Amino acid sequence: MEEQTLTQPVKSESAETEASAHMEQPDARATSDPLAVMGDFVDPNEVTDAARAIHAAGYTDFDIYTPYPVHGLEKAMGMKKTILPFFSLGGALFGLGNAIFLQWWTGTLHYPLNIGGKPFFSPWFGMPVMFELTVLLCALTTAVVMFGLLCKLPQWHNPFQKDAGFRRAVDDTFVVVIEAKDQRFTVDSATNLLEKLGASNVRLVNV
Amino acid sequence: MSVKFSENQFDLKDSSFVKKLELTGIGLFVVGGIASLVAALVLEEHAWEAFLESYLYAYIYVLGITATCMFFSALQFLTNAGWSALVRRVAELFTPFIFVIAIGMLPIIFDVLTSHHLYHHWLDPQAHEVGNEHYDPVIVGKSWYLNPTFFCVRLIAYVLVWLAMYFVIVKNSFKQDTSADDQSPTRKNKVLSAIFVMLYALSTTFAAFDLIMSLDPHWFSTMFGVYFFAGNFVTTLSLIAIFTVLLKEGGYLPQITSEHYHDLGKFMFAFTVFWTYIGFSQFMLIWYANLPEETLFYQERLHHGWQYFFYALIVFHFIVPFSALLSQKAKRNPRVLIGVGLLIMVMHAIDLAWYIMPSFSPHGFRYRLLDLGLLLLFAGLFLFWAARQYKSHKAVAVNDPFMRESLELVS
Repeated sequence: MEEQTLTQPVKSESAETEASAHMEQPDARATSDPLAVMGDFVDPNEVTDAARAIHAAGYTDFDIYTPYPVHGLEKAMGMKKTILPFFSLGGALFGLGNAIFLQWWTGTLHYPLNIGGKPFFSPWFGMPVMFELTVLLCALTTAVVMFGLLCKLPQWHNPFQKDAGFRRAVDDTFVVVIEAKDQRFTVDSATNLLEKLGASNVRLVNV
Repeated sequence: MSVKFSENQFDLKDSSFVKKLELTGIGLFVVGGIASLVAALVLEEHAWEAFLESYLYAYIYVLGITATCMFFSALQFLTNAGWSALVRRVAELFTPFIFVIAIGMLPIIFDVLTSHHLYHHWLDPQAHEVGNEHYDPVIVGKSWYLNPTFFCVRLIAYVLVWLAMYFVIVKNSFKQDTSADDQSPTRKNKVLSAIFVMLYALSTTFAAFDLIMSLDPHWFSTMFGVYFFAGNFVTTLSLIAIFTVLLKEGGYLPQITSEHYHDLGKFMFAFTVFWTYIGFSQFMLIWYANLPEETLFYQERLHHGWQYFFYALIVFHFIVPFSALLSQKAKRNPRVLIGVGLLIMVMHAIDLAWYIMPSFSPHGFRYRLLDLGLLLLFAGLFLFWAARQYKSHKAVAVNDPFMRESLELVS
């Protein structure tokens, strides 16, 4: 999928003009390999119910794209809990350790300076730096791991973007996507399921 | 959109919960009363003075919680909070104790006007006499603020503010229970809570200055009011969390879910950190500047045995609750909430003892039976008073406009 994506440049303008005719006329660029089945919802509660049903039907490789965060959706989808907090904790502890070591080593061993008769090292004056470095490295680790490692960003192109209806996920539509890489995926079963759940504009998107 | 509950739901009048609460209250009151009597009459040489010191300590413990429960309620109105509609009444049913708090101010006012024990430092006439060996220019300089008349006027003003807060915010909240369609009490509270949150901040800050900081009139810290608030707020949140868990586990509030636990847990977690942050900021600035008039406070509180309370606070008021509540799972676990909540409530008693009592006993650690006895007596009265409220009010603000949001809460 990745290689094919690279060989197909994004043609955003033409895709938009083709939007209305998408269902009737298959995209000329499209191959016959299915990528995903998509369906639209307009109500956040309905899409949450649909997510619960799709999860209950046994699908794992499906996702829901929403214009804004919908509370409870991740639970309805049966998503596993993220391992991100452990990276955050690791980053925080690393920052804390660094701050203690840096202040203790520079203050007492490497270059001891007598400042106003204060001790060379004390947890009391060291606390703000410990706090700051803990928070800083915790935040940086979280951001980098979340975007880079877990969300695999930046990603310049996603084949879903060929589907004009998919773009409305950033505007006013909740788009449910059942991907072809799912073990249970067949075009018919996915289409039937989405239609049964009340999705409108159920469509097959090819690679 | 209002939610219909059945007529008798949340009516705990005849429930075993209220009976148990009442019995616990009476039990603590009796045990505390006997302990205090024995301690005051047998163990203490100067019974009245000893009583006043312990009384101030125990009184401030319940005062802080009662006033902060009203603040909690006002805060929910002010922020249009939806999550707390099921929980808010738990806090509000503690607030009628404000009448006891109002009357409880009398012994302190009596002491200021006649027996001059608690605040003898700045009440001492010799300190104001030029040429006297006890002449104290610092106290003379502060006498425009620290004089018996103004002091008593201020104490009465704080009590009036808290009573007004009860009669406006809490009473309006109770009024909403009678009508689902007329939402004017909630709407009124939204505006009034903005005013009362500010009045609460001013009154508790200055109450902390007057009741606690002026015990040692040479010392001053602008952080002190916030520190007092931070301790009170985390203790109040713990109390609310404990009662919410007890009501849910007892089957009286089946609508409470782990989402509500999660929000309460987050609140407790955040404010243990806030308490630590404020406490540390106050300490570090004084430690670093090293000015004699400021360090005196910590000089007394970090020596002669008082330092063990200080270390206990760092470990059990911060490190243990912080670690225990860090994970999401723990915040959603009712046992963790109860355990950490009780720990915080005990540590708040230690915290108060640590910053109040050294003013009376700077050269030696002291935690007397009388301190504990009066604390238990007040705690018992507080619980008994709360149990009485469940007989005349429902345990939930049934007609709260945000009830649906709270019922469907996903945090």
